[in-house]
Amino acid sequence: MLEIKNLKKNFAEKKVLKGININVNKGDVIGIIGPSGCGKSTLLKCINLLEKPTSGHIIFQGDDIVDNNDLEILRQKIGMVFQQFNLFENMTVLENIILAPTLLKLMSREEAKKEALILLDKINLKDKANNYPSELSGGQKQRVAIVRTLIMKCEIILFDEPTSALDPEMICEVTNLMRKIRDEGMTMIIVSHEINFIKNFCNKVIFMSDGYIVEEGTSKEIFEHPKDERLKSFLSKINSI
Amino acid sequence: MLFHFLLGCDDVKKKLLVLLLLIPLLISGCSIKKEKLILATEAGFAPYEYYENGEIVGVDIDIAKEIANRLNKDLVVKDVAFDSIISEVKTEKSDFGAAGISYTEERAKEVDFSIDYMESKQVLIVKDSSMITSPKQLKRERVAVQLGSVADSYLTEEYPYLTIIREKKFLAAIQDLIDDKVDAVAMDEIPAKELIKSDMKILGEALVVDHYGMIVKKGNKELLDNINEVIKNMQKEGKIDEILLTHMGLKEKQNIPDRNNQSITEKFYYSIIYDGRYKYIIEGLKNTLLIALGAVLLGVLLGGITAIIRNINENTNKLKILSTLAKTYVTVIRGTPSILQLMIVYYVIFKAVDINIVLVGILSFGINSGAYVAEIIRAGINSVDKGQIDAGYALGLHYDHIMGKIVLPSAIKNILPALGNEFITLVKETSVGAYIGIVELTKASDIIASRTYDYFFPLIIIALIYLLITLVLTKLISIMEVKLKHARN
Repeated sequence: MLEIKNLKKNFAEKKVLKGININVNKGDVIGIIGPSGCGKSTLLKCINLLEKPTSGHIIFQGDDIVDNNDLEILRQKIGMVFQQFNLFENMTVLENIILAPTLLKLMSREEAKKEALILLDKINLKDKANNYPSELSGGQKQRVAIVRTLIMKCEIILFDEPTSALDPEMICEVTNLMRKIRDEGMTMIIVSHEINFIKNFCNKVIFMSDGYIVEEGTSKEIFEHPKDERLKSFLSKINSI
Repeated sequence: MLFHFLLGCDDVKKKLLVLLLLIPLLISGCSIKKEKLILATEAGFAPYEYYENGEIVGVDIDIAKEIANRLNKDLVVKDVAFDSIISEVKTEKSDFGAAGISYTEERAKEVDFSIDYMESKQVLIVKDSSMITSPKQLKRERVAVQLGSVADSYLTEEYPYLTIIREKKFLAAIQDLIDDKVDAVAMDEIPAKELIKSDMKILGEALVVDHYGMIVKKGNKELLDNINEVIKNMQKEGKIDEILLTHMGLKEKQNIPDRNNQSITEKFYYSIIYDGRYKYIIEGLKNTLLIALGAVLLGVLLGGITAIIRNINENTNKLKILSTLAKTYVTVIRGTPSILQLMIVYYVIFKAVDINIVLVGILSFGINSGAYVAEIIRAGINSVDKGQIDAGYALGLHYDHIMGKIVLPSAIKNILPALGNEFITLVKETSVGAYIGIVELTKASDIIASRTYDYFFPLIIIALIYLLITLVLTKLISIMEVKLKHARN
């Protein structure tokens, strides 16, 4: 459903992505790992065009979206969850969730409210519907952020370090929710430093280094039989913590 | 929506330009002058022109009335800064000027002079204890004059070693002498007699004798001939000397005790109550608040548009030309003093347009304020967490959704208190409005001082009013800040 072809991204003189090729099938759960600054987050932001690629193609459902002018329609189908949650601070939890579907006229306000409360109920946060984000814990915020994406009925969700801003005891509530979503068949691309989570959670893993994809394969191939020296060195550093 | 309007189509720029061009046209179209004869003067120069019972009266005014009668027009007297009178006449803001203006060659290059109607003796005022007995003794002393007056140019040319203190008002020059900041004051003899204190004297020997004339725009022969005719007739009938006598000896007429002997109550009485002088303060307060409020509203409108244009450009790369214009506007306005902007708006842009000066004040200060407000709004917008904007885009929202629902509501918390401060600044900034004749608070205190010959008391009162306004506004802002903090925390 999503094909990335020879994607390049420069920030001024700095080359961040140097030719990325990825093929995502429906239902895939792809983990992207790699050292800091290797371009993982930039790659994610290029997929929903929050960053405009310098060159290359992104084929989504048969169309090249790089020069697409209907970014808004596209982004409704590609959800994104951020490291810092990025909830709208000036709105309640409920308003956060229903803002986009009502503004974009996907649902009436009433429908959106009903839907949002059902989703909040599923994550046990129905009683926080009228609270402001500043009154929630990190884990609660991130779960609301995920629900905010789900209500858009998107077809793929990009997770940019979804748990790295959380206290350890809250990571679980977020990964549990992600697991539920995965089991319902959602396509996901996850950038994360939580190696164990990626290892157990994803069916495909991509290792990036210095703007390139160095190695990709199943979780087992990457973590148990790494080939490239850079991946081996990366994994040994992580494991020695 | 404004955003749609701005982004919507290709001839956006045309639309905006048309709007911008329309504003001055609409304003100027409202009133085309005539049947009025406008006199520019500076009413702090008794007995030639001064305030009495809320009106400007004096020798010059009486002569001007005769001229208006002869032309069958209504005389309108405008009180502006002395050094603005020539620009008033040159730009046709006023038809003629009379303010004890002496003929000089330099002035004659700018405007046409009438025949002399009054011989003016420039004299020196010194303290009784002074060693100076003749202008010839002057060498390196300090002498106070009114900026741009005959005494000023005469001393500057003839006495190169003097230290000349150029005050905006004669009163300030006299105050300098009272405080021993200067050794002498040089000015016209007749008002000098009104102004001197008990421990001062006027030197018998004149510094220079010259002649007062009225001024008109170069080439306005018709008006000039009429003025000359009136002056000639009045001189023939001895009327001018008569008028002079009725306007002299004001101090005795008013029966005001000497300033040094007044109690605080008396000072208060003569500064505020006597002759309805509180009316100047009320008028000044009204204009000050009106201009500040109008300007801040216009400023928010202009500043908002400017900030949004720049933000659209930064985020979408559209509106390049408008954004460059917006940037230039902010740079130019913030890089020049507001008093210059006021004078340019009045004497250049609205040249030869009969427009209410308070409106000019609102426009000029509003344009000035807009540049600062634009930066306030920009800073407010930039203070909003970039992540929330990303999240908005990632959900498929449009730029204007994000601005309207997420960025501006958050930014407003930072913007509103800063706007309150801008208003406080404006309230005080309006004091330069006096330059083009607006009676605002500071001008009100000037007018009162020109009648009581005492600067101190009216200035303190005005200062207290400014302070009070500021305190009230500050309190309101802090209440607003607290409320904003609680709302949507």
